[in-house]
Amino acid sequence: MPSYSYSDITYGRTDNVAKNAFRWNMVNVLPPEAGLKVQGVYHKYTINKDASSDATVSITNKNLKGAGNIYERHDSWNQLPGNTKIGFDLVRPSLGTSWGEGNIGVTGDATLSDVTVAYNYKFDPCFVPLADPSCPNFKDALYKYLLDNGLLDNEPDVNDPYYDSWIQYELDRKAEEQEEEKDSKEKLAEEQQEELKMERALSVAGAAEQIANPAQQLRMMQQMASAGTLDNYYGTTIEGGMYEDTITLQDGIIEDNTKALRNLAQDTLHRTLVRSQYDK
Amino acid sequence: MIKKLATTILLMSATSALAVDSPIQGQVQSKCSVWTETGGVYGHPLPYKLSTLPADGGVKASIRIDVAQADYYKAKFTHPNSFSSSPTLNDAVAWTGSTIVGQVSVAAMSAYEAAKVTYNNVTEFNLTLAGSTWFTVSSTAQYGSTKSLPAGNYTAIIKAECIAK
Amino acid sequence: MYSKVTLILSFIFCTSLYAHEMTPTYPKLVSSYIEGVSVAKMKLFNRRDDVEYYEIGVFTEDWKSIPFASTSKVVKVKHNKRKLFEVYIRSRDIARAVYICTESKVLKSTEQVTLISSRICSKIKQDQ
Repeated sequence: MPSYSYSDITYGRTDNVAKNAFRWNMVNVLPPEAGLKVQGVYHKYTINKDASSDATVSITNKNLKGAGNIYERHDSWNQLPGNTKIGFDLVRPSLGTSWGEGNIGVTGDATLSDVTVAYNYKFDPCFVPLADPSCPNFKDALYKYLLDNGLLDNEPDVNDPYYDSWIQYELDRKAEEQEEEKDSKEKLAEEQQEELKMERALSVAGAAEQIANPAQQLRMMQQMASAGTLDNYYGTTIEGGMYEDTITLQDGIIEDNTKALRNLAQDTLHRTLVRSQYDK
Repeated sequence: MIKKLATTILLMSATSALAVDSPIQGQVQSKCSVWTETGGVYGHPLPYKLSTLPADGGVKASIRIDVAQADYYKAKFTHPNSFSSSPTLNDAVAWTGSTIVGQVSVAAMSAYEAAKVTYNNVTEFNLTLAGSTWFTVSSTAQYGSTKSLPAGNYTAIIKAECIAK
Repeated sequence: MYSKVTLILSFIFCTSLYAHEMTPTYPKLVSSYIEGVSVAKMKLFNRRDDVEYYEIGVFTEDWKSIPFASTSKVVKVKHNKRKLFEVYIRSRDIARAVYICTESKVLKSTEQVTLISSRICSKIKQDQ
């Protein structure tokens, strides 16, 4: 039966368990996955009987973890004509290992035909993390397994179920170590490269240590401050003198600006007019 | 000091919470759903005959009725007694048909068959139980006595009804 | 020998299911904003992808039509969609009105012709 999965849980339904017989063993019909839970029972059957007779159809599963049945269903067909019945019972999810032998039967004057019984189930493929390398905690589970079996530094037997996983684990570990070594070498080379750049920028290649040394700095300053070098600089004489005017203004007659005078007269009139508003 | 105390008291009362039950309420509404499972196919076993019987190469119509609450509805099926569309027919067409209870989701629904009421081309079932009931409708049309049906498209309608009681 | 008869049929060995639902089962008529007219609110759910149109009808006990008003006598409800609609009935017709029904309708122009027409009827709750 096709199954589908949502998130990490896989859901499915068994084939018709009553195809060949009306009694079946759940171990033969449920998938072997660890942690599998049964969560529903589907049934369909045709009961052949006379309307005047009594009959009861029962579907049961024994409980392997306790007394009695883990599931049972009884359909009364007393004084009813034969027909085909379809139904689905949701059950509280319980481990498949608790479900014992299943059975469908009829009591009374009737027979069954075209019987279908199927179980809906669900399971987590990573219920046992070691089941699949893609499971979230696979590495931790493998490490624990190797530790518990003293196989961390010893090679397991080639027949050990996890031999291949151990090989892979060792290879992965080696690869990780090599990766780390390579990373640290690259980091060192980068740091050195960075230092070299800095030194070049300061144009004191090879002298960075000396610059950082205070005593050495003092000596360098003293050398720089030697009279032969600085004195000439501080002793420079700048020639003075007088700076004569270069621009001369030629005298002349300044003519009256009649235009401006006219404007001034108009301005006076304007002023009078404006003031007249405020004066009494 | 008093201000600090007041603030503290306020904060404490703000963080304490009363647990109140908040029930989730729901109600199952009575309703009827009519599902078309198989529309049906007319077989053409003879030139003058159309039939949905498997022996005649046809397929019976299957309709499922789901009822949420018991004894609220009755189901009524009308098998065809005329073509809703067809070529011109010069002779009468004799119609027969039936509706029977098919599969059931509750054993006691088998009793619907014995309790059904049939009149004209109508069959009524009293849906006294909640659940799903499948009904199978068959239909046969015979043209004239042995006249061939003219070529063309033929359509016949089955009516499935769910009526509140 | 045999005449060629082309039959238009639908859903040969169809495994899909198509449904038509209507609630409430017992609608109540309440006064509307129009004097002398009462209204019932209904909900139609269409799960039939072969049908998009439903005809509303109001009937007496004997299945005789009663005049009523609604936004549209034939409502369009697409596949897997719900539609709320109101049915207005005159106060003088309330005593006679028993059923409010919706019946599937098929377009004549469509090539796909369904063989099954579904109708669901709700019964109007009468005050005692």
